[in-house]
Amino acid sequence: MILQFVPVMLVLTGQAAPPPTSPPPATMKPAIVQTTPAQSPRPAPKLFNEAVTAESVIEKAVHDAHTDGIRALIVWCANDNDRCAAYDAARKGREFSVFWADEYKIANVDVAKGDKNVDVAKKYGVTLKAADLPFLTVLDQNGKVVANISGRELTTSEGTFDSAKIAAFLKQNQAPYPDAIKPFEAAVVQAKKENKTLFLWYTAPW
Amino acid sequence: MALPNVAPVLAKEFVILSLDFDRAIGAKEIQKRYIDKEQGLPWFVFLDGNGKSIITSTHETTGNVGHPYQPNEVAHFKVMLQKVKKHLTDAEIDALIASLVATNKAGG
Repeated sequence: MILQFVPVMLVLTGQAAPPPTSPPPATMKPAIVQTTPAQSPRPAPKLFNEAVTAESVIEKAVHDAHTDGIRALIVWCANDNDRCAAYDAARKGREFSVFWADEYKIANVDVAKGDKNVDVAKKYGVTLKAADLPFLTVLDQNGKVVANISGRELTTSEGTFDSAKIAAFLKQNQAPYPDAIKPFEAAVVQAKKENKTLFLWYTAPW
Repeated sequence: MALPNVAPVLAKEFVILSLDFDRAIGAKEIQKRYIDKEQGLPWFVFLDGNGKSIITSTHETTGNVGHPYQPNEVAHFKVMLQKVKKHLTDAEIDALIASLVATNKAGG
């Protein structure tokens, strides 16, 4: 079968249908603006969902990575943890956008103070230590461990997270780029043999 | 395409290949054989058994229909299907278009 990437045609599945482009109906401005008591700002959503199981978070990331032919990245860390917050800030530069958009599906696994999901982490070769959070685990599209690294290895000599080290780790362990030429040539041959039309569809992991 | 009422119908007419535009090596070069200007994604082309373009998702005046959503985009997609059909019936094409429109209306 030619469908190397198992296309899920958005056109006909509608999984990513764009919103209507027509503007919303105009509304009248009220003549009197009523004031309401000030609302406290809504707290930012927590990065690490404490209510779901680690297994389910990892399974979804691997599933999505498999669909797109890329890799999954488990981030073993926790909310309200200074090291995790510092790592999160360090991986938000523009140079990281390609990793998050095209190369990795993220599984944020809550480990509390390094004492939660310990056994799950061990299955992936990670021995949690609160002082070395976060730990990162790269999985291939089948869920097999490609690489592990501790937060300590991603810091400068001063102990701050080093964006260059994080980027280098991600670059080194991203999935190899697939070949387009051979699948394309095989698809043309198959179309001719079966007297069919080749539906060549370009998309991207995002 | 994954929908049970859609996949077998498309399979009658098409061999389907999806290429990752950014990551697949050679994907951009293959696309350049069929269109000279950069296109948005998704973009697609129907090719014959010799690899020759029959019709693309780029409408000559309105551009790439991408995910066909607006009526003119859906209309172009239907034109594409009509142009290449060897195995699909008109009724099957109408059913595919109806499925697309229904999915769009449901908001994806």
